[in-house]
Amino acid sequence: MFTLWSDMDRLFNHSFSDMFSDRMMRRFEDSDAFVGARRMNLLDRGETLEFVAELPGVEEKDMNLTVHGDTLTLSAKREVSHDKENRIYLAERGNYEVQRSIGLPSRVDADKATASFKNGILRVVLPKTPESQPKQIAINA
Amino acid sequence: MSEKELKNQNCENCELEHNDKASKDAVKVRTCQVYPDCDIEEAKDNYIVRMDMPGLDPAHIDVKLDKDILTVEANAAIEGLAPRRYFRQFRVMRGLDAAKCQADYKLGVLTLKLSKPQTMQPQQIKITCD
Repeated sequence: MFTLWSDMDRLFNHSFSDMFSDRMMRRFEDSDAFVGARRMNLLDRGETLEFVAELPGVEEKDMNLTVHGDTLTLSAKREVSHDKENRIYLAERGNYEVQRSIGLPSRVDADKATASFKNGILRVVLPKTPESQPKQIAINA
Repeated sequence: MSEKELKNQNCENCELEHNDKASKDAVKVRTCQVYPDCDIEEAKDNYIVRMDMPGLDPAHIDVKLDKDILTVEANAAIEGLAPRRYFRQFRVMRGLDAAKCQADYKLGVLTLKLSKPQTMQPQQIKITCD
């Protein structure tokens, strides 16, 4: 029931810009160049550094996060499974593995770091060490 | 068949319009449209549709079945990442009963279980002889 429409769906929904989108690029995940191509962001919030990553479908046991010095390392994997007896009409979601080491722009206090994983979004808050905190400089007029 | 909304078992308010601040904010800033990855498989009694849609509040996911078009739509305003609008449509068979379908949202993955209607089960046709 889904077969015919899926082809029409792909034809009408894949614009040229999608051809080069990260979704298409993720197709080549076996290649080292695209390993860990999930969307992530590192933000400087002044007193803390915040790391956000999209990891849909990853279970807590398959996720590992470490901070060592000024490097944050994330490793995660997701496996999809389906009943062997079921007929597959569409299989776009695949197994994926993420292995990323990110250099942090400031020193952080790993003991005070917190991480939460909600609805497929990993959020890590890394408080900066006191010497890395932003400091106001007084201007003598 | 009139427009019916599939009930998301994690959400009590999906009959209301999504007029909350998070959805409105997501639309105000230029949102990018995301075509979520999807897996569809056919089990004995239902079709299972799984879509990767991280960062959503289950109350803000709109799953609609209008005759034979199934639409999945949601706005996400994730702090630290670009706001995005997930949107995907499928043509499905006519005769699906929205009331018999289930939806759930876990770890950023939306799973829809569409029950096959009675007509899909093999049925015996009685022959009457005069």
